[in-house]
Amino acid sequence: MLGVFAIVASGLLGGVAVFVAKIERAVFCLWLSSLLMAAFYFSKGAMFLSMAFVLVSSLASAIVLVVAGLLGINFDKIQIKKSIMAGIILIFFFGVITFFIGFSGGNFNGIELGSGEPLRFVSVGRAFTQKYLAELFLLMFTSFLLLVGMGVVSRNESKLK
Amino acid sequence: MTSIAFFFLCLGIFTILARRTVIGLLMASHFFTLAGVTAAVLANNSIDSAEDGAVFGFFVLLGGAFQFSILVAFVIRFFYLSGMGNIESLADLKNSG
Repeated sequence: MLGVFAIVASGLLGGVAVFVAKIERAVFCLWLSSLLMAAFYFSKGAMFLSMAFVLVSSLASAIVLVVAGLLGINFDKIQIKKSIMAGIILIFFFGVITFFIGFSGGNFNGIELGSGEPLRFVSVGRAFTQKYLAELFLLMFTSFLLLVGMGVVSRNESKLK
Repeated sequence: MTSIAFFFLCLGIFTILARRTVIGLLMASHFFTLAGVTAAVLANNSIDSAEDGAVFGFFVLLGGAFQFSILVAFVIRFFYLSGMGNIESLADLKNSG
């Protein structure tokens, strides 16, 4: 029940976030949508992932608000013609993909909501340190490079001249 | 249930097409990350694995965070260079070289 509520509310809030006129409202809707999806992951048993998702989405929302507030970026008017065309195309693809998933005998969508057993943190930590250690180090190294690159790219050139 | 992930993917593509600002790109990257993590979690339950889906979803989440950091750097850089947040002017770069 929690999973169904979280999915429906998160989808609605995500849709609202695309159409609202002000950035702070869009960010707030996205943040709430992320929290609800974290609740959905929690209901599927992925507790560690839901906690990480809450942390990352909250940090990302705060960064977007700070950047938009500092730079004074705002939304323009939503482009109605392109939106309608994109909506029609995407609804068509959504219908086609959903039809084929349903046509495949329910192998993909026959999952009961809330049926996942809760993962213990020990098992997740063991998976990180034993099965996925190389991937974890690769991601940490990549994150270090990206943080350095982000600082270099976003530096104001005028201060150097 | 996999349709949920595809719904968020569609929402991200729609955001890119409908919003022509840099914040729209950030929102779309958020939707893409949401789609990837949801697909990983649902795949974990469908193959009845212990923790692989959650770990893989965590990797997808980290990748989304990297993508977000690159986009934020791009936003700041682009704003300093052009003085505005509208990405329509990126098309002019083709003729400016």
